[in-house]
Amino acid sequence: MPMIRVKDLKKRFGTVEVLKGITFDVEKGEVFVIIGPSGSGKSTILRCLNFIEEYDDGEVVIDGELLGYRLDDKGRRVRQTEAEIARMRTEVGMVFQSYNLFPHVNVIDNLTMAPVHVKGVPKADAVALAMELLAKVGLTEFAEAFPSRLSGGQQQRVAIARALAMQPKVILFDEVTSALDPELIGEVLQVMRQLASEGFTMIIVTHEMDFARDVGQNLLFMDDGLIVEQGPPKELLARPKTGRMQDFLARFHGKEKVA
Amino acid sequence: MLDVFFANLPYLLKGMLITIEFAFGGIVVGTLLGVGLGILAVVFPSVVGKLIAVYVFVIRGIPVLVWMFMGYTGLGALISDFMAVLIVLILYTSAFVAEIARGAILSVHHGQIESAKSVGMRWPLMLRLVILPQAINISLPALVNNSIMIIKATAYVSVVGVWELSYAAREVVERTLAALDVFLGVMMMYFVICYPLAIIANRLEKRFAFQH
Amino acid sequence: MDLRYLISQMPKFMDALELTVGIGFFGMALAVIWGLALIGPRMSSRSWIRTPVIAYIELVRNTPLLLQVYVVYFGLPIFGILISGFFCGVIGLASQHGAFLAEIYRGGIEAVSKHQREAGKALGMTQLQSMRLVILPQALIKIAPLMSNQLVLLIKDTAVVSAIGVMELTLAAKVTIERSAATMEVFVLIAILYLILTSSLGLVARGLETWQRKRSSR
Repeated sequence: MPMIRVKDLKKRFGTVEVLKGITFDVEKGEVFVIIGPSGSGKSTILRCLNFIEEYDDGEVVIDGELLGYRLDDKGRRVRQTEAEIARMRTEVGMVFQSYNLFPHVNVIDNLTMAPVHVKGVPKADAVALAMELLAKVGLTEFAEAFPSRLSGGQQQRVAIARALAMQPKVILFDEVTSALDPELIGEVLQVMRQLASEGFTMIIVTHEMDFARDVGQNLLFMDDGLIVEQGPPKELLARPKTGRMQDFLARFHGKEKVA
Repeated sequence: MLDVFFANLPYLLKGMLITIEFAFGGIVVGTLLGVGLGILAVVFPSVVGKLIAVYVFVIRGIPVLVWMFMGYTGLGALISDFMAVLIVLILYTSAFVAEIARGAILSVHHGQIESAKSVGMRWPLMLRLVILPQAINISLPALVNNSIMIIKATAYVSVVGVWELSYAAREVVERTLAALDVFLGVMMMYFVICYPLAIIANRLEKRFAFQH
Repeated sequence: MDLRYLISQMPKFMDALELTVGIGFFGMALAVIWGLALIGPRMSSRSWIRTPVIAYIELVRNTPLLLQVYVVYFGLPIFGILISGFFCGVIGLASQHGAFLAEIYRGGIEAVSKHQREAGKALGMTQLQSMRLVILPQALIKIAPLMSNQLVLLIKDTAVVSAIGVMELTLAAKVTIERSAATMEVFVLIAILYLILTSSLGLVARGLETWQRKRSSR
């Protein structure tokens, strides 16, 4: 059974249909990359996968469980309660483009807050895990620091550790390097590479084509709310089948970043 | 339910007229005075500015009702009660407006002053063409909110013994014992003046939000 | 300057000062709580809950405190409820200042970026948890100076109960002046007393402003 199953996903904002019927599967341990022009809906897909955006039609199934909705005894779809949705979100980690660390507490508290208050993990255990994760992302010495003291790249690495602290089944990355200065992108991609090699299930929306080609196992190219191409990154990026993907990739030639 | 209120409405409306006179006089003259003080405080910060700061501190630090007692007892001996409390309202308003004006002028972007200087403008011209127009925009919401505060403050003159809407209201209640009717009705009379101003202040705030 | 007379009246003024501070303290405590009680309904998505609360807040913010206190003082006895002028004052103050505080709280909460809420959601927090752990602490930092400013206004507003016969500073002054010729002395005394009250609270406000600036350096 795939870790994530998305079937005919549809989402509209007001009168604009942003997702027009998206279907794909993500296997356990897979690194799944989504690329596409701005406005194609790629971030929206991601945000539907943890129900931060509530999708209107179709299905999102996470490890066998339907997300966001439940079927009542008449077989009709009914929105799940806040508590049920919150519980499902503990299994799906998300890292944001603007890191969104909590500025009013230090790094360690950022990492332990959710495990302690949402999952009920004893503080000592949460702190131990947090220190392990900080070591993994290379930021042990910043444990007591406040987010405002850290660089963008450091904050993003803490954000990744914060998502990992909930020990989720899958991690979503929403253009996590797009807001970073070029010289800070590398350190974040490095952490992501490591997670991939450790077998995490990752869904990554990105503009870093080199990274997509090297680390991704499955690639989705989206445009205007629909999947245009899907397949292994190495193949698709080298030989795009459609004109649209060719045009899109052409914009990245000569802008290859060293990752 | 509100029949007592409506029965006495003509009497109350006369009181409202006096309230409006106080409010208008206090706000208009007080604001002009306050703006003047604010400008002086910015242009001559060392001596005049400090004096104005003390003035603002003392006036804003004491309840307006206490000032009205002082005005009524002190000045009231020399001039009419009405003028005495009106002067108190004017001075009270001026202290708040002085702070608002000073803050607004100071918050006009540094770069504006620099570019004005670089084309050869000097203080009076700079003030007139560059600083004040922008300061006025910035300060409008606060000035409108301040006016609401002063309108509400006019009610205190009734405690000192000057007749206006709140005094009339209490008279009617003591005569008819219909406390809820009359006081709630009179509250609506104040509301009808103040609430539109609150909405205006809100709109002004939204319109000038981008400035910061 | 008849200082001797003034000194002989000091005990009375100290009692009055105690009342002023008492009304201020209880009024502020209740106002903070009342404001908290109001924000939930104020920000509710259901208009039948939201509208009456907004109507109350706007009514109470745009009418003189004096009349509101009169409503409590003269109105409650109609229902057979008899409470002291002191508590009428406390209720009136809490009601008006609570409404102002509710709007201040609302501003603070809305100023906390939507992103913070999303981060809390993504970590599996319920609405209540993200409010408590993420949003309110940050909102509090933003609004602390505004709240202490409200306290300064509230202390000044305690003077309103002089109109219903509560012997706080203002009424004590009025009564003493009427009984003696020591007008100047009494005015200076209560002016100084009020200035001490408001300026010390003002110092707290300034201190909070500095603390806020340090805590939100981002």
